[in-house]
Amino acid sequence: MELLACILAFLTMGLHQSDSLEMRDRITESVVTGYRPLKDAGVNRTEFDTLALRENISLSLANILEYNSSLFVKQYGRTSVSTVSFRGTSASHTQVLWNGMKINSPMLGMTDFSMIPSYLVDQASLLHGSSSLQAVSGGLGGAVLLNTGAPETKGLGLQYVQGLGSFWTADEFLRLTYGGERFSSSTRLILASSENRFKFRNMDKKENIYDDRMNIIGSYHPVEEYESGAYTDFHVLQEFFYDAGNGNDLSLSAWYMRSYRELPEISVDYGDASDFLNEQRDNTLRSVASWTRTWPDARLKTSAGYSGTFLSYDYARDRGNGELAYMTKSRSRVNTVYGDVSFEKYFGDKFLIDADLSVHQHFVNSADESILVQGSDGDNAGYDASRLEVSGFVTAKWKPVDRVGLSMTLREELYGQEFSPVIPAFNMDVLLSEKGMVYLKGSVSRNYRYPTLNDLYFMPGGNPDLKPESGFSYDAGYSFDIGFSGRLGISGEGNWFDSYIDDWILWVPNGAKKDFYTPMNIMRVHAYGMEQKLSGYWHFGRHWKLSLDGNFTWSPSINCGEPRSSGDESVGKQLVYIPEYSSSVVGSLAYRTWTFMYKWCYYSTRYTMTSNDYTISGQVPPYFMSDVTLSKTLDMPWAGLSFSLSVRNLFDEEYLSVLARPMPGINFEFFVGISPKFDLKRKKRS
Amino acid sequence: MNVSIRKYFILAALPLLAGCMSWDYEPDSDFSVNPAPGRGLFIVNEGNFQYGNATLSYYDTETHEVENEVFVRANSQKLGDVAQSMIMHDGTAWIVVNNSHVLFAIDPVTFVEKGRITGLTSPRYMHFISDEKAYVTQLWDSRIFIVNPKTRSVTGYIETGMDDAVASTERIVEYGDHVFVNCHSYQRTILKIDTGSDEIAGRLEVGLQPNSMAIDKNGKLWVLTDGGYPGSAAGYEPATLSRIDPDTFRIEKTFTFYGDSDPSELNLNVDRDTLYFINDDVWKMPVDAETLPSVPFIGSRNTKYYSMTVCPWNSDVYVADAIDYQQKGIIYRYSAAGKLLDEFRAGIIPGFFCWY
Repeated sequence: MELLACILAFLTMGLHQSDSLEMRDRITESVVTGYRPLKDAGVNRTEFDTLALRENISLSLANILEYNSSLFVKQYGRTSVSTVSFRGTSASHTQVLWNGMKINSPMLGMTDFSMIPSYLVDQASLLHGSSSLQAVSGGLGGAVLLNTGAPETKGLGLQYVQGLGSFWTADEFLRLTYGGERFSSSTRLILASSENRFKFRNMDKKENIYDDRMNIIGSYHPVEEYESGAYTDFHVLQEFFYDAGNGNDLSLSAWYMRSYRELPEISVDYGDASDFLNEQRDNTLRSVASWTRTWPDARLKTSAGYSGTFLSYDYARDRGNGELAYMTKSRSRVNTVYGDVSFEKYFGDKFLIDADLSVHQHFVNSADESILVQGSDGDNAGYDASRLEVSGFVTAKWKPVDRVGLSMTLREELYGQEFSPVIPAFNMDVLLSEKGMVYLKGSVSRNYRYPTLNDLYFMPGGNPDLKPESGFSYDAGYSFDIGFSGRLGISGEGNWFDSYIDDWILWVPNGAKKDFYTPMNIMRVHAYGMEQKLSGYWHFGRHWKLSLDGNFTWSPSINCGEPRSSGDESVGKQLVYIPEYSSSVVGSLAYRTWTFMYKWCYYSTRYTMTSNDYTISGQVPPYFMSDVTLSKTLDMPWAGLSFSLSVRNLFDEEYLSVLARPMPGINFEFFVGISPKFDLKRKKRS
Repeated sequence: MNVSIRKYFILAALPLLAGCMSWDYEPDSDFSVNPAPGRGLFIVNEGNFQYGNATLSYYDTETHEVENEVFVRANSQKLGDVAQSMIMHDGTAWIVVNNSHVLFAIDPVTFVEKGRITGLTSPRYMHFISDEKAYVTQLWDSRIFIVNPKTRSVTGYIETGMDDAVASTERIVEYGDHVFVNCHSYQRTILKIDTGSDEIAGRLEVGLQPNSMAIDKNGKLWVLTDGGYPGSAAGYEPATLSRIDPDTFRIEKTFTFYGDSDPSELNLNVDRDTLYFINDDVWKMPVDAETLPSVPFIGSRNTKYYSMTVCPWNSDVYVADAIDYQQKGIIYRYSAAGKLLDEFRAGIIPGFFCWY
């Protein structure tokens, strides 16, 4: 069944997302019009267009990636923690850069994509496998690059969108922009909140019916309300851009996030949620200032940044008198100072040298303030640690002939006091046919991911003796892009990837009855498979446009290490929570100012046991998910208006993404937006 | 729209029609075992924290047959998150499911639920005082809960006075009109509780983090401590095994383990003259020994021995290997002489045994 679904999904792939006609000219479509730029020689990159990022303004990056990429998105519930992973690797093998600065948590190594609203991202791209080394190290699976940019229009601009949805969800979006000859500014605000109390039929539980003697005389799966899942997120992103002339550009981006989230009970919890407090608060400021100097054949960019996070997690019980008895009172303070210098220089149109040096200095203080034991020295359970991470690389890109692009990267890193071995990466592409822009491409690289600060120092359980994970990977693939008079186009891309990762870090219980876990280098993993993308568009009639965009991934990720003991059945098996097959399709049909979009995704069975037992508790069933959005824009003399209705989980599926974490059934959100026209003569920024 | 386009759309819709979910557990009571008192062994498999994948296994000691996931198969509902322990009383088996905050009562023959008790903080172990009164120990709560198993309700509490954030009451052993309770996580106390008045009659400090207890043939209480862990706010010290006079409630003798030993799972044989415990390997030690044993009874073979029990009828030793804590653990059955008799798979992290 899974295979059939994958084949069907693959067959239905076609094209590219579209947009309303009004916005069409603003959308960057990845149509290749000539040779690949020298800078992209051999790079395996996926770009997200504006439509994907803006289609539903309330979506997080997790939702965008779920439907528009080959990545696996693991969600712990609606708007709950969401992590993404490439090519059968884990979430901590996905590196995330925001305006060049790493935003993976130095404590956990991963990024919660549910906390990144798509509204705050102007450009998003994925670097798959080896290609990630051209931006950052440690992305054994790949890297996600997120960037913001200057407003596109001159003069004053304002956009306000309000969304109201199921489960008492309210979303407010405001963007104020100013674009001058040299100076521009952008201010974006988001306020999103929801009681998030959706109902679901709990198949993990049964409610009993008793007689007078407490004998069970009947039972049924109860329809429960998702309790304690409320959230309030506030984001403000302020940016300034200044064109100082003579090739000098300055920019400053500052993003403050304040998030409050209740953490819901799992589906097998019989406690009364009102008796417990289980919540997380996240205050994060990220800021990056950059100066870019551009010459006709060179570019120098320097950046400095700061990221600070104060993360609190409380788990407490109501004593019954209104007082809370704290079981966990976790407080984590993470401060990161960042600096980066990059320089690229073209030598003619055949040779490019790109060099970069980045520094991240992390300071972490993590404590459970509830644990103060009488008679002890008063220390909390936790740790204080800092680490300097320096990473530098030089990339040489060469086109010996027009049809061939070669790229060689050498990277060196310092983590704490430990230098990595030299990390090499080689990429190449060859244009086989100009007709159809048929390329062959390939790459090979080594890569390392260093243990996180929690891996090393978390109390209890941190293991300072951990080794870095190391990977050797290669991929090979093709791409093509065919257009017919601008009315019909098909493009596709396929890659075979293969990597071995040694010393994979896993947290396992620390011996008998210690009640805590510790990380260990315990696995060797062979992750391989295939990614396939196929896209297309078709303009028909006078005002119609049909687009389809599909992704299909086959990603076995196999434990190929030595058995831990004679009874170990995990060797040769798929890693837990990594689907072997996944697929997504996005289709849209646009007519004048109307757009209808259909999104579909599929994940095959995710095993939850390393032995891949197909038992009741050993797997999360596969699921298909469908969302639709209908939108309409109105271009009034005084303002642009937009209306859209999004329906998620169209077929009201009862499903899980993660064991014991129910997902909502069909739900709706309606958006209305207005963009006043302050200057009717405004022009697109040149 | 022409015919070919229509076909295309139909093709595109096919995967949607194929959409299916199977978040459902059909009853499957076709069990190969016939549970009967005097020959059955339940294995409580903790599962992984927050996965909700705890399970219950049943092993017939005579036929050597085993059935796994018996609770969910018999009841079409999951056992829950972190099943901690189990106790048999008056023909009913009670399973304590720690992070689901529930006690399930089941029929040990059919595995079908008979009832449940909720409203608990973080239950660990249950001990029956009478048909209508049982104690339930807790983590993160300074109270021991008193429940009425017949009415399936919480009827009272025994306040221990610990700070909730580090409160921990664990196992319970009975001695006349009293029970002893070890306070484990971040603690070093053994409580003596009068089961008539439900009041604490005494407190005794032992080594850091007492994790298990047993009363031997001489009526002596043995307590095993694991000593905490490096960097713990409660400290870190060598593990110990102490012998306590339950009447005077004083420590008579303490054996100190070497280095970073991490002993657990104190058990006694049928004659209650030999102690067993896990410390990487499985060890046994006569209750009148003057030193800790130096040669293991069952050696580790890269195994992760996690729990054990000794058969109350013939002193066979059952020890659970959790392997990597994310696959079915293996139960090894040894004779009292240390000969391997049988082995079988249970569930994820077999953490507790209950004899039937």
